[in-house]
Amino acid sequence: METIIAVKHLVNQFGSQRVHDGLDLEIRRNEVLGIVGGSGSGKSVLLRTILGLNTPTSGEIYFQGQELTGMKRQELACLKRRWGVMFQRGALFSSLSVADNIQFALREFSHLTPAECRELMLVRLEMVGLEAHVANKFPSELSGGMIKRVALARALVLDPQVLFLDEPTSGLDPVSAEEFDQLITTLHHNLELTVVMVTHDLDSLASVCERIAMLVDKRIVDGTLAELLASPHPQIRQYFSGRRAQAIMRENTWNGMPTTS
Amino acid sequence: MIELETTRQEGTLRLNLQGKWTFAEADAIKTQLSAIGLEAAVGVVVDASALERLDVTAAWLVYQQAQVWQQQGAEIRFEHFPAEYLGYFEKARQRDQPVMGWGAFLQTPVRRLGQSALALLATLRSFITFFGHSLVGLVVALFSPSTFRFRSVFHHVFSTGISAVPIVALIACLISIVITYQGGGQLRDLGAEMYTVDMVAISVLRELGVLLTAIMVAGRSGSAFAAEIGLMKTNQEVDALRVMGGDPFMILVIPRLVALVIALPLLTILADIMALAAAALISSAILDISFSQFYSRVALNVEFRTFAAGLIKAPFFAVVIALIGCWQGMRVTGSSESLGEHTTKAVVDSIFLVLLLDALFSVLFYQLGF
Ligand SMILES: Nc1ncnc2c1ncn2[C@@H]1O[C@H](COP(=O)(O)OP(=O)(O)O)[C@@H](O)[C@H]1O
Ligand SMILES: [Mg+2]
Repeated sequence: METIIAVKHLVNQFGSQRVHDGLDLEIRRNEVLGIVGGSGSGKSVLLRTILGLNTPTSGEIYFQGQELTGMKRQELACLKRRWGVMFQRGALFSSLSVADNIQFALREFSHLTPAECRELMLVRLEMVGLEAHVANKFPSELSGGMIKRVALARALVLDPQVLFLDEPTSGLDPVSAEEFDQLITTLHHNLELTVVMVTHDLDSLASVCERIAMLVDKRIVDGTLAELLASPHPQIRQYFSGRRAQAIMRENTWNGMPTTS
Repeated sequence: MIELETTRQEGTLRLNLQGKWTFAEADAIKTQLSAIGLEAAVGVVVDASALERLDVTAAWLVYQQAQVWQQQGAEIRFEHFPAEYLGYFEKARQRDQPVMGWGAFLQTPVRRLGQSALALLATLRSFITFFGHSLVGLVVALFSPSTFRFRSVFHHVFSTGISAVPIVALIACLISIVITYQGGGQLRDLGAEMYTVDMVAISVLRELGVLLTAIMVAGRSGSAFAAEIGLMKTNQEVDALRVMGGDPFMILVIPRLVALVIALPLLTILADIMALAAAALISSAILDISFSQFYSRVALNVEFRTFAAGLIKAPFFAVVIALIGCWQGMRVTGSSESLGEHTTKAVVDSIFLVLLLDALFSVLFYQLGF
């Protein structure tokens, strides 16, 4: 499969703390890649670096073969319009209503009429499973789960090629989380979407992600879930050896889901 | 690139979509689709089987056009069109309700008047509650000093007082230079330049020193209080404090209040001194009044109570500025817009109230012969 994003020799250092040390990662077109790792292992920083929000200490990032850090601002902005991002805490514009949050990019980057923008906004709300009346609310009036959904709707509004999700299901009730996973799978199917998701949710890992990249020792170890489960590396074993992890893995192997990749 | 193949057959219009139908092609899709006329067709078939890519926006534009045809009496059939999309579109359409908002504009003026009066009352009530809370907090702090946060007070004395020293000193000098120049010039024509000293000293000590300092501090610290506390509100930090059993008043409001009550009088004294020094300098330069003449004139004609009449106002101004700043901070609700609004209000309202209070003091001092 073709590589859409490549991270090479990435080093990130904050003060004396080295978060990434010569990290390599390949993201392939049309896959759903799960990024996992313990808290504070640098998942969000990795995502932010790929998105260009964090200037790495050293290293290169390629998108469809083009190096991003050396690119002109204009070109970069154009490229980024093909990316959808959902931040860990939503990052909704607090002074805009939900409707305006979602419509913002449409109004800004298309020639669609306001009525069309509004309809498309409602379609996105429907896609993420929110009622239409939510459109008139402000972010401060939403629950955590609703914020996640609105953030996803906003990330989807320009029909991105690559969707970045930072812990999309954390803070959701199990039913919503499962719906969310299903939603991602559906979108991925229909949109030729490449999805990169940071997640702690083992259900998501097992049911949605085709490949998993794990941050271990400041680098990436990647493979399918089955490959990672079979890995002898102590840290990886530890990550998947918790009781919850075990329960989920058992359940999924009974259903024959993840290991038959 | 989008490609569209239309074939007409026995009253059926068949659209064969090909290529990549994506958001980027929205304009092209719209023009191409709307250019197709139904003519005699009674049925439309939208065939998406040959598509390489169809994203939501493009699909919706097709769906939208199909709705138009349907309203014109044609029967629509989608083939190989993602069923999920159609489901979303149908549901979104059904749920679309008219945008709210007109109601507010159509209200009668009487009703709006009543509402703003009620809002004003609510605001007033909120402030009185806040004021009461702070008083209680102060009393509690007085009787149990262990609940009092000295470190926090020191921190705020530093940030509101010490770091304001340069700007306050500068402003005091500037205003006194202005008065000395303006007044001295006029009085010299009358041969009464000695009275410049009285004029500068009295106006600065009674009014201008404390007033300008208070306005400066309202701008610097009142807004800072509102923004600091407001941001903590939006981040739910205040709630976190509360559930940990902390009292936001004791932790956030009282230290700021006490700190400003300490800092503002000190800044006022500084402003008075700087203003007099500047006046002495300018007088000696343009009016030939030597430093010793200046000093003896001030010592002779300016009583201590003139200085006291100015200084006594400083703690009251400090209370107003601190309370308004903290109160507006506490009134911030989730959005960043609200944060900006309340920060602005903190400055405007506290400057207004400082001036109002100053006017009241003038009347009071006049009545008391102070
Ligand atoms: N801007 C920053 N300055 C200093 N340290 C940072 C910064 N951003 C992240 N870090 C540190 O980098 C590490 C990884 O953080 P993060 O990527 O957010 O973790 P997670 O994997 O849980 O998302 C943490 O130890 C964090 O303290
Ligand atoms: Mg994180």
